[in-house]
Amino acid sequence: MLKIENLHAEVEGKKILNGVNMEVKSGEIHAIMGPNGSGKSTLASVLAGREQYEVSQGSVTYLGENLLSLDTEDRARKGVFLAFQYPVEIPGVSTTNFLKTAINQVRESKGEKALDAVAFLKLMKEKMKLVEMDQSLLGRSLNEGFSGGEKKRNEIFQMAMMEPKLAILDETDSGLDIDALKIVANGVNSLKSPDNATIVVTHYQRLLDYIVPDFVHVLYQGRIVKSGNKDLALELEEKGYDWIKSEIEAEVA
Amino acid sequence: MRSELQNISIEESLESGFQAFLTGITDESEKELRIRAFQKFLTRGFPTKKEEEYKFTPIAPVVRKNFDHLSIGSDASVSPDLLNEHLYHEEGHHFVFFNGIYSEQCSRSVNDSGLEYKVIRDSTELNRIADGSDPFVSLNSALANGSLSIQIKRNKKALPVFIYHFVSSPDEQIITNPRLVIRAESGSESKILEKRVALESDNCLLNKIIEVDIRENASLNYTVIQDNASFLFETSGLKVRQAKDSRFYANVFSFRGQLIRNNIDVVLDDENCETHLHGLYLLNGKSHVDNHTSVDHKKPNSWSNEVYKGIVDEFSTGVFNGKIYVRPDAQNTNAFQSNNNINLSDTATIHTKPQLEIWADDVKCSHGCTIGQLDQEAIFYLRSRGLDKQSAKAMLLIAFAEESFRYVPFDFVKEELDVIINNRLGV
Repeated sequence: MLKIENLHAEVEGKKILNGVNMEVKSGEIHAIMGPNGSGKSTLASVLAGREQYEVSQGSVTYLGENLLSLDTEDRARKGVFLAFQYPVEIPGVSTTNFLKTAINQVRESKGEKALDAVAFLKLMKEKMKLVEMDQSLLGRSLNEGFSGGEKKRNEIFQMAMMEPKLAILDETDSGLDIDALKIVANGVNSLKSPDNATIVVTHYQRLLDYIVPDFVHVLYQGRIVKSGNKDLALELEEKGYDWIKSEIEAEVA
Repeated sequence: MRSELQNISIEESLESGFQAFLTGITDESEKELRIRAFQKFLTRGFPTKKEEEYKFTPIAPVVRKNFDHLSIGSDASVSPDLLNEHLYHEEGHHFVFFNGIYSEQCSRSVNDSGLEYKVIRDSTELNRIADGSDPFVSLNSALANGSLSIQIKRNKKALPVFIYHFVSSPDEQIITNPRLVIRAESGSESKILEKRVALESDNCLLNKIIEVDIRENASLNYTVIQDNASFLFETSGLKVRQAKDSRFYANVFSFRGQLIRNNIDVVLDDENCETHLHGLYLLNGKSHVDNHTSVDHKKPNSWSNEVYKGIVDEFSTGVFNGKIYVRPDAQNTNAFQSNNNINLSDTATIHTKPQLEIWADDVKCSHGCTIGQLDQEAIFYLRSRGLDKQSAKAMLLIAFAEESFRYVPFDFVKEELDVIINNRLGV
């Protein structure tokens, strides 16, 4: 589904990704871990198409297409979804209104009929249950005055509504207490299918108790320096990132 | 015609027009009042940028640049087809001004126990609310012809009032001076919508004055849409006096205009008044819109709230100046003001200035003005959910502008505003 090859990216002239290689197949969950500043969020942003990031080298193929040549909205329309680390507050725009416009633009881009108000509401009700979202929140301005947990739940709710093929969760677990984390993880797990894939970007192993990854990658200094199965996450939890750092430094020396 | 007039100044051409106009007036005291008003205007002339209040909108050079003479607009009638096209198909009173002169023939009124109107011929009925030190009030007082007086009857709710300013003068540059005097009697309720219909014309200066007297416990809601043709230059004065327990709402929408200067002055002359001024200017091209407002709290326990929003693009200019006075007697006043702007272009300009003068000591007043750009992170967020760039921008701008619709009492106007905004934003 997704193939990242030798990806280099920079922001304002500062090199952040230095040759990332990774392949994600349908039905898989990949976790990307790493210390602060290792490039995790940059990778998520580059995949979603954030304009400040400049790709200087490498390629990303998504469903056989050059992902990097697509505009942000076209990526979304083809099934890429980014759950934001810091969901943006937008005064005056309700989640409901915004999602209806978004979903219908996505549908229209695929030549499907726009959802009418009744069908949209039905879909919304169904997905709200999934993340235990309160309807009153959805009528309010998008994320404005939401607690950290509500914002993250709203991200997963949007993800459920959009039914993406490739979901990228950027530190969705940071700032969440355990109960909220369970709700978010439940949402993600119940959306899992053999046809879609998920990339979970996280600093903490805790999330991976609830979302069990098929692969764990460690990103350090803009490269994936170690890959393994879910046991790698446990090892990291136990030994911390210093263990990886010293291993890398030993190799270089 | 124009070549013969080239050697005389604008003021001189106005003066010869004024003299001709005077010959039609027989009443000596009436003549006297008008001459005095005209002299007052001439002494001061059109404001230049040396005047603080007109620093960013100097009228004199704009008039000199775009007009080589000013004739006084003359009456004509509008064809039924045109009226049908431009009048709202809504129940209510439709009052038509043609080149500044009230036209009974074109107007359509219905039986309404809540409203009476008449044409004013006698200018002693003017300037009870408006302040003669304003040069545009003086000019209008001298030249207003066929002014309209509207009375909203005591304890009644009037049918909606629609006011139209038709402008047409294909062969001549004109000045039009519509004048309205509105009295909302005590306990009455009314809503007014005003728009311009610019037909074919050479340059026209629309110099409009509306005086509004809101009596005890009455409520009046005024909405204006300024989407002016390129040949229309506008100076508009809205002078309001509120009595005890009264409510006043103004909703001012400006979308287009080479020159629009709005002077809104509200005097809260007694206790427990409520005043809401909402404005939106959404400008592109070379439009220039200046909103000067003044809210004068004279007595205790009143509340005013002013919210103006601006979105400027291309080479346009938005000016906001909001004065709040809280007089020594006006204890326990609540006065709020905000002016927020989004500048979409490097070549567009915003000037904003709040001005508070507070003499009372037990008051709550706040003001704030902001100028910013669209939030790129918010645009990225919306696009990452599949919205195209244009829709994402429009969604943010509409959300920003929406607050200014809050007190618009006509749903069809909100729809019309939505259409104008969506067209402007290309969605």
